[in-house]
Amino acid sequence: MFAGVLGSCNSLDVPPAPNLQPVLEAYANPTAVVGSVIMSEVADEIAQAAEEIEDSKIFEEILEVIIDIQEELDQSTNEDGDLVLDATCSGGSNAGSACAADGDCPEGKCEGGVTLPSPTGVIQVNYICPGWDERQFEPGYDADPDPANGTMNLTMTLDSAGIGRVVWGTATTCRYLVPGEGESFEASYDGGVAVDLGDTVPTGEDIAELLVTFVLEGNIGFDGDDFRIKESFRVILADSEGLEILVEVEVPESDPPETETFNYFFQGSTEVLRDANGVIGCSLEESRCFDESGTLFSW
Amino acid sequence: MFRRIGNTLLLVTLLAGMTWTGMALDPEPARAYHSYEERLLNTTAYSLHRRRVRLGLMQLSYGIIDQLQVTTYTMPWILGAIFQDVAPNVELKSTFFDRRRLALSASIGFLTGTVAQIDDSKVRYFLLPIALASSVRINSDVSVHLGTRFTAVTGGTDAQAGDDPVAGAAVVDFLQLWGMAEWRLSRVVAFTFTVRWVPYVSDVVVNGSLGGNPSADLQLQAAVDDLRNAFAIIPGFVFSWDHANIRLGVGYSDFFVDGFYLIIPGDVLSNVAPEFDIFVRF
Repeated sequence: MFAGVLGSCNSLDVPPAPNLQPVLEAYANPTAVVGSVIMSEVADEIAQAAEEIEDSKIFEEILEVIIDIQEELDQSTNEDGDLVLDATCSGGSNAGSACAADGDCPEGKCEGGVTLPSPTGVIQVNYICPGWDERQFEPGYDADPDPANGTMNLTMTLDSAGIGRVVWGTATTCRYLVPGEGESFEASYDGGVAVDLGDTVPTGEDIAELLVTFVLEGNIGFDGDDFRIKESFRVILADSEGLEILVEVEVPESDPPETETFNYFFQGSTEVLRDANGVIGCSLEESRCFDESGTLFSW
Repeated sequence: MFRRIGNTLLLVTLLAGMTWTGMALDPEPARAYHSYEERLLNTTAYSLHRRRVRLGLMQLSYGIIDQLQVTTYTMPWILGAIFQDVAPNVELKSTFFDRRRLALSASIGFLTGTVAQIDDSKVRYFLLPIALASSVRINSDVSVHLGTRFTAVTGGTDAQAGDDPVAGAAVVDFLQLWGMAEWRLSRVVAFTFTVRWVPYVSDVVVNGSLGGNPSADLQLQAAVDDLRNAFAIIPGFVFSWDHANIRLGVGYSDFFVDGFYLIIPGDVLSNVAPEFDIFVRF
């Protein structure tokens, strides 16, 4: 009976990741042919989504959690790619601190713990959000995380090559502060999260440099206002001015209803639209799209 | 530290004393020499008869009834005392069939203990071995013994590595097959040739958690390729005199540790697989 009980524990229960392939396909191959009619319908929506995403920095909050876990895993991974849990430095200047290899213990040795050769599996990440207390930015501030500030629960997978490309989960009224010039803004997110990191992320790779695709469905709160988001967008965390939004439009008079997509890029003051016909410049502020020859259409 | 060394010395002294006492002061005449009645117990389907005792450096056994023997291995107690706490272990073996030339046995046991880590945390472990064995007496001098053992291992830790609390449990199962040929060269000397093989080792499954904020619950799986297809080929001898018995063998490849039910990969001990015990039976 004991053997049965033990044996039953001896398997992984990996939940299926959401299928983001259609979204990635939509980014790669826009199907809509955009003109003044479509832009007149979606321009305000694009502008508002871009503003809320950039202001709330929700992508930064999510990616920072993923990066924290990646750092934990990296610190516990030795040069052979084995995960070393609960090992500590014996002797040397780092005596007593966590280690994954002797190289982490100058003049000492990394001993004890459990070594898992090339592990695969699933990681459930539980994050208590930092809340709106301004003191969190003060040096030495070390209050216990308060679940009243909301939580973020993410699922990551691990294979022998690194962190699996899709990370998914939910945020439950996750409150955080967005630092601004001279003041901070209260922000929150409540809803579903799915992230595509582009590929499996090996040990040591800088996630901040990756083009990351988000699919969010929920409510973004920023500075007292609420905004419903059901959007996919792409950012590179290290590129603070870049944002690409996937825009979905309904095909008129289609039965059953069908949708087409195009991409809208923001890069600083530059805006670019990419549809089935190619790439053109646009300006939401001036309500027009253009190429080298001049305005193509306006709305 | 001194207390731990003291415990260890006490245990070793007790074991040596018990073995010596068994050799010199056995209440019944020692039943040594290889005979129809006195058969090897390890790696065979045979067990001690009722009220028979086997005292040895490696294991202590007692026959509860003719078909049921209880054993405890000494090394887990001794090594457990050195590294943290004694490691209780018991194995019940029943020779449920023994007629004509064939004997069959089943056994089940457990081994549990803790190992201290450098950071003063403890790793707990629990092993559950289940074995089946058969012995065939080909003639009065030659016997063949075959067996299989499934061992389920689970371990856990509540640790504090550096600033990051780490806790978790690991599970691994493995299956061992063995075969032993026994040739009684004389009433004192028996030659044994043992082959052990591990055809199956499950992947290790670790359920753990990393502390802090964010915290992470880990459910990971890793292959234990070093142990898969582990084997040992061990020629040896069992000497049986009036009182004392000695089992001695040196083999090649991986080391199957008696009492711990575990395997040390061959490259750790330069592919030397020793086999040793000294014991009395009465």
